[in-house]
Amino acid sequence: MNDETLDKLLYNYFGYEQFREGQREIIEDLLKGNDVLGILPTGTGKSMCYQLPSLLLDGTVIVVSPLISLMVDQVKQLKQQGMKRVVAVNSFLNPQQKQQVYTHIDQYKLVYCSPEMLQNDQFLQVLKEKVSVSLLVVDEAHCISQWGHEFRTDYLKLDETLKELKEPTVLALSATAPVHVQDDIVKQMDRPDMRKHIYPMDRENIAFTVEHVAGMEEKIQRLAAILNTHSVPTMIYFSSRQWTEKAAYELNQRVEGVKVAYYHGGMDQMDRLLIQQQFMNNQLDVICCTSAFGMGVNKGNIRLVVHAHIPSQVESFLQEIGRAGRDGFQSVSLTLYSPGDGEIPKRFIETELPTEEMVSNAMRYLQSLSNKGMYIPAQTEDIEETLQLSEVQWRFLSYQFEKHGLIKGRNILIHQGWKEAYYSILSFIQERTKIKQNKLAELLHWVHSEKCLRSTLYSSFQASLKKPTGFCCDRCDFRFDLWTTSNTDKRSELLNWEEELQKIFLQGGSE
Amino acid sequence: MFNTLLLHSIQQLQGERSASAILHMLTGKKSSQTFQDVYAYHLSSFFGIHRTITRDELMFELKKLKALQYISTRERALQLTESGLKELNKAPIEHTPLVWLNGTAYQHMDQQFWGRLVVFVQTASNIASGQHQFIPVDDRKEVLDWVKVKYRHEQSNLNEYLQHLYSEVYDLLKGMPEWVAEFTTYRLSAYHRYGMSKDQLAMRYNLSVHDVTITLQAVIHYLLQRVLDNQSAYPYLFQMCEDLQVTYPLTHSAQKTFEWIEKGYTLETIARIRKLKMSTIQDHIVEIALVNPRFCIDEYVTKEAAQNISHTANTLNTNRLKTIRDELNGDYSYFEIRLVLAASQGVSNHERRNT
Repeated sequence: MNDETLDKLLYNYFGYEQFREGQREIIEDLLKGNDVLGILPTGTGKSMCYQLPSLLLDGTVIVVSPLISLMVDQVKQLKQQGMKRVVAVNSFLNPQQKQQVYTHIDQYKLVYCSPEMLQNDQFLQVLKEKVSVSLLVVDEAHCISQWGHEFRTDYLKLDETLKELKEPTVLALSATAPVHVQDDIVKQMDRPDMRKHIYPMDRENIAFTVEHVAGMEEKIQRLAAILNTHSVPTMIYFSSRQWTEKAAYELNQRVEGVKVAYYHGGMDQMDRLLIQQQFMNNQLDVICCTSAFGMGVNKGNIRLVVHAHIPSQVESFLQEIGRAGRDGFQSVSLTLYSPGDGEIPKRFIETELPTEEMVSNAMRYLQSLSNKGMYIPAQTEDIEETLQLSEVQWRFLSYQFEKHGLIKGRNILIHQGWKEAYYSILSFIQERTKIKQNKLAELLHWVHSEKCLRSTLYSSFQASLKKPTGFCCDRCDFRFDLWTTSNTDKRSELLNWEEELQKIFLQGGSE
Repeated sequence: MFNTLLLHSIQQLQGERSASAILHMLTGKKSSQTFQDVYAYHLSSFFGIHRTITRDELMFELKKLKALQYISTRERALQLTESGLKELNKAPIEHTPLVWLNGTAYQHMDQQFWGRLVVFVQTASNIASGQHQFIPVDDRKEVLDWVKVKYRHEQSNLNEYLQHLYSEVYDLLKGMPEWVAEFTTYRLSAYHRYGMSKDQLAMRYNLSVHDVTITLQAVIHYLLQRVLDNQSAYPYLFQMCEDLQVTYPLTHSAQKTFEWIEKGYTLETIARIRKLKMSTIQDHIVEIALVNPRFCIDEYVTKEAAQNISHTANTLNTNRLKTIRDELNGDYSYFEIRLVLAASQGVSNHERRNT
């Protein structure tokens, strides 16, 4: 495959004139049949690295992604671009829909699925019988490493899945993986010859600023003041749904001529879609959102990303600010911090994994089931209800129990090793919690840093930095009053309903 | 508006039902108890009109009404207070778009019809103005599949189609109060903008999000009622709901039972063939009696029993089965009582609608 052919394909299918950094190198390696580990910063087109090869490779490309909403968005976008032979298989499909997909599985070039789906016997059987998998893509590959900032136990079984699927080529992708996580990915996938394509993640057109304020009211005041002088496309992250709603309401009241809306996972599907598309379509200027927003938001001109609440780790922070300035123009990351803000992510970390009591309750529960000669209930919701566990907690525990040989499928295996397993699981939980606490401490340290924010932020990921194209950070050269922005275009106001209806239906001869 | 609906429902339920009855009515729970309740208390028009509301959300709204002292509870049953009644009389259902609602008739088809209309308009508007990239605002597969087929069919004279569809939609919106026509128009998505979310509509019209949900539902029912009653006047909109109609709005399982009955089988035989409990089959019979005014109950209840039961229910002015059964010294089964009530409620309902 020569350069020209790839360029032509890129243009014809995706409408891009040229590849972005890293894409061509990764694609060429894959087409030669080499396994690849790709670390590419958010917003640089990771998905192109497998979407384009899927057009060239015989057989099927499987993309494993832990984020169902992202998966669904990508499939939608691809279909919109005219790629029809693509499908997402996940737990949202009803049995009929699933069956339909399975029947026609060989007609798809690109199949997205969740890691859980790959553990589903029926799905695996369908893949083995009906298609030949040419490439298996592991998106968010850091989830395979327990040293990563997110850890998904389902990912640990991927090496077995690879063997079942007759060892296809592997592409592991992540936006944020420090060196020890990279090594762990290679080890866990059991592909020692993986080619590493690592690209620096610092964004030279984003300036950083952290402001310390007294509390939420002051944050809203500050936001209103900034938006009054800089009415630019903006995302504001909050830790709770209630705050997104309240802030959107307040900002709409206090900022003239700027349209603000909120977005969170509690809204119904159509409304989420409407708000997201209004923002992409520049009908909205500001979105107050939780971390649920942003997956697949491909908007080039986001100028300002605000953290009204900090996330629990630098990796999430980098991913979220990475949505700013994808068009390359000067953009800003603002963090508003007030005393005690670290408590919210701290509580989140503490409740994410099961407590000591939950582990021992769960083990006692299994033993009593086994004594009665019963199996583990098929409905995981029932178990979660009985044991008062979250979905994540039970998934974590059942993987741990299986790993320690206490259960297999729905069978409970009683033997001597239960006590050791108990202590081993507890110490593993402590270790994971410790890692997470350190990650939070790292972010809190950054928030309070007196040195250059840019170099502090990226220091654990890379040795050197690109020179910023504009401002660096508030410790070096940035102040809001120095930042000149072109205000958003005046948008046409809504017409009265009769004229608006005519416009919708292209009637009235004015079009 | 949602408050009006709640107050109205609580009034209709005569202090004989708890919050669950309202939840099941709103979410359109397919159980014979719910079916019978909504007919018995003349609430069938609100069946299934807010299918996504959760118990917590409903309890939150009821708590607010309680705090205003519009309602009270006695042994979990909800009751309207004096001031609640006053509040309801200030703004009765008849003065709101909610009067258009007809849940039992349209709840099985309303969202499909609306999804088709919205996505087709969005598609045609975009493509006819030369814009081929847009995200359909309703991503249900059934809706998209329908629009795809329809679009392919109309592709060649899209402009003409849009023009006809426009005049039908305009004509129907014109018949609504000004603000509702505007509300509906702004909800639509087209080539130049995506439609407003429920929250945005709520803010603009000073409503709650629940108000928006049920107003939108009322608009859809208004459109369906006008279109289905005047098919020849609205041929283009009729095409969007023609295939969604059913003879009687029965649950799938009750429909099956009805087919066996029409073939002349006894209830016992049907229960055996379908491997269902006798009580389930009886539930189906009650359901059929509610929606099908031509269904004859004589085969399952004697004329005399029917008379006694109706008479007692009317004298006591109640729909409580136990009260009726006790008054009649336990002479009749609950099935017989339910069936007699269902038949009279179903028929009376039918007669009322035709006048």
